[in-house]
Amino acid sequence: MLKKVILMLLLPASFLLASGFSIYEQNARAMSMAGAIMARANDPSAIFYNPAGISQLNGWQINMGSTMIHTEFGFTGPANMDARYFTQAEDGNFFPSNFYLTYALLPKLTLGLGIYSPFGLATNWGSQEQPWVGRLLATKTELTTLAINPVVAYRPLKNLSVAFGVSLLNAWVTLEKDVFFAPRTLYGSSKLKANTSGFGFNLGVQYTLFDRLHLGAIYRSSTSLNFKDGQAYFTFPTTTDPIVNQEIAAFFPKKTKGQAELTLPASYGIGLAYDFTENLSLEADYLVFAWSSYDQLKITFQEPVAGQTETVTPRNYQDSYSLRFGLEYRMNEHFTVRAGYLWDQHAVPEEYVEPSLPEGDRHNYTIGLGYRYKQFTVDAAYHLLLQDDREVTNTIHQFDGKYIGMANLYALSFGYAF
Amino acid sequence: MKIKILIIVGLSLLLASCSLLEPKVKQSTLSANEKLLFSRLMALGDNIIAGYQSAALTEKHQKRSFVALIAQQGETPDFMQPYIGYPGLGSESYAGYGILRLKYLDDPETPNTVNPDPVIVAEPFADYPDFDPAGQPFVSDEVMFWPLPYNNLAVPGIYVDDVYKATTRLRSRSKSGLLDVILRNPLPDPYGYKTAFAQAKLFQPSLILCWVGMYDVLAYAQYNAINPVTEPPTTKKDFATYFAALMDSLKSTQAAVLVGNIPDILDMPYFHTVPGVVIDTVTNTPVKDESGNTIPLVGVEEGDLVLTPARVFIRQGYGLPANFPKSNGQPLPEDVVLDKNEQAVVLDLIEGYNTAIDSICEARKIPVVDMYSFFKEISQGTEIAGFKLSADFITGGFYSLDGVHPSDLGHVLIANEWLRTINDNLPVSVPLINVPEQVSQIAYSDSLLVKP
Repeated sequence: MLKKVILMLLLPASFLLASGFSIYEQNARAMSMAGAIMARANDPSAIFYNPAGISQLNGWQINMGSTMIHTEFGFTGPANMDARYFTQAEDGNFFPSNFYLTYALLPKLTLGLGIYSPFGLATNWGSQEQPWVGRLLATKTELTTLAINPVVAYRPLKNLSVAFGVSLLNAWVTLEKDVFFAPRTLYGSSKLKANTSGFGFNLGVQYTLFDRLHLGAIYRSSTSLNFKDGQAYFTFPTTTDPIVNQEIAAFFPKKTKGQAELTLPASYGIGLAYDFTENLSLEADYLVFAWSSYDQLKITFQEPVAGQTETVTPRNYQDSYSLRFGLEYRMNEHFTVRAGYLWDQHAVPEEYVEPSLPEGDRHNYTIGLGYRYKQFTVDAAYHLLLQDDREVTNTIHQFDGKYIGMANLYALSFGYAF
Repeated sequence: MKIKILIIVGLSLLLASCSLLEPKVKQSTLSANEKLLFSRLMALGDNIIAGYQSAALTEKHQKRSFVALIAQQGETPDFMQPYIGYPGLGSESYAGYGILRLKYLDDPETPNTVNPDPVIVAEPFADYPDFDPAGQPFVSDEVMFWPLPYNNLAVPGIYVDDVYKATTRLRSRSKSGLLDVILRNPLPDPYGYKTAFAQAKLFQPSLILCWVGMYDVLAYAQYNAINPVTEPPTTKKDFATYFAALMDSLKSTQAAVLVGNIPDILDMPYFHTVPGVVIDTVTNTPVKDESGNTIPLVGVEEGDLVLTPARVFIRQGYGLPANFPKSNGQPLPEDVVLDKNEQAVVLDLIEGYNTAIDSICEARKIPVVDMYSFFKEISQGTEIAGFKLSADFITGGFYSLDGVHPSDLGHVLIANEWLRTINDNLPVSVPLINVPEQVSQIAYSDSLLVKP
């Protein structure tokens, strides 16, 4: 039971929030400032946002939290059928969680451990009872990741910190969609489940000028994932004709092994923060995800499926960036209020947009409140994600139409300094 | 302080109530005026528009023809077609057979084939004693004695001028046996002997869909053992003359008219399924000589297209080199081979026909549905909403078992092409067909699946 509870907390059901399927919301305080915290990250969640920031922490510190996410997506089309036909994806409700621990080993050397989900994706269209119009493209897609990220931060100068970390990234993927058996005009369903892990690293630096101006920069490497022992399932309804049933069994093995490779993108960014007063600071961050590494989804099957042992779907994502602005105002020794705005560029080119990732440019508005009492901190945040309506044409699947989407996020984080 | 906190909390709660703004209109519906356009829908033409599929015309596929689907989308009242009973009438009927059926996707008697070798059989009339192909081939008396002209008066196997000239098989240029069935001549008074167009005109149609001309060239290119075509194909000049006369006739009805142009028939699987080389019957892969080269069939030159019926001759030993045990020493008959010159004739005719269709329709402001481009797109391999389509025989999804006429799925896609052209050219916005849903219904109506 305990193991299940821990898994529920640490293996969050996933969602898509930032460009592509990256997740940048890993702490309530940071989330309430639209993630614009690279230059002034100074709590344990800095392990994710800029590990150099943990060099400012003393003793043992812990921070953990969770985010409740409610996503809504819809699609109108496809234009080559009914340009007005609206399908709403099943609303998503997710609770990704994070955990950070730091320890100042020496005055200038701090160690940290972060556990979080840097990438995630979950879309669910239609149902078995009510299949949707894009059933052959995607019905249920889930990617869940869990990064275990130990870091070490060093402060060679009073105003300079650098950090290095390695991450072990575990990933679980489920891809479901329907398949079509043209010779007999029959639908079946396919499901690919796989998990794997890969290694990466992250770097961070923070520098302060004139005591008021803070600079930060980060780099997170790409992570290659090889899902080599996946299980592929093909399920067809039993027909009234035994010959047809045999044909289906010959064309679509009920179960076979599937292998796929996926490279999660590198990311890098810079941040600039300024303390207007002792209590008021503003930060602007520029963050890039190198999504161009994701050029295709190739799945190789151990046994032929519909006569093929390999399916290749071009993705051709492009590098995308986000601009983040975050404001923090300490009202008194206990309360802090925060707000932020971020604009996130799409990573999927128009012709490659498809229902498993109904992505587009996003405007994000955030607000939050922090409370500190002695060594104890509580941060709460609300994040409104409004995705620009995205009308796509000339898509490679000839599935043109308009995607709409938005999400509400509510985050709560607790911190304690020992 | 408390007030500030309350403001923040209140603002958060306000924002938290944000939810997706769904469109007010979630599905297209027809207005009364749009229904009016489809209220007296009429179809004229030849094979595909009639709903001919897998070498026969039969109710099962007529009901899934693209015209029937357009009528469904346009909510045409009392839409009636000349529904033929199962196994239907078609190219095999002279020999006592109806529609083709896929018996096995991969012949169980040759289990070691690398490439599947399908077994396709024609349904014998003898197995369907209730079906009366010569007397009353319709599914019911209601259909046969339908008091109005059928909404779909397209007749498989006719030529362009037959639409407005032919009253019976004998009084036609094409000699299509289905003329007598579909036109029901002599019609009872006051109709008398009427051509397809004349019957359509009597119906006072609101919208006429016309797709004709493919058979003018197909008859020349395909093989017909029992009723071989001996006349040369319709010339480009004659086609233009006939087509212009037909369009003038259609326009005289005051109905809205839509016309399809001619696909490149040489892209169809009928011309590509049988390779021009010797095939190993055990593995269903090309036999190779000592140098590793494939061995051409005797009577087939490089660049020739071997027609699907050649398979029967090859089984009898035709075309096999003399050193093969099953060879009968005879080359493959030229009737089942389309050489380069013949291919050039076909392509030239199609180009000429389509040029004529474009200019004639443009002059008369008749919208043309570009079936040539659509079929070309299919032949090059395409994907529509996850349906992977190609001109591959059986597995390509678009063509039926005769390798020429589209399948049920093909008809759904064609219907959407026609509907799109209707929407683009007429003051209507008719919802196109939800392809996956329509295809789902086919599986159930074929009795392959039992609804839970």
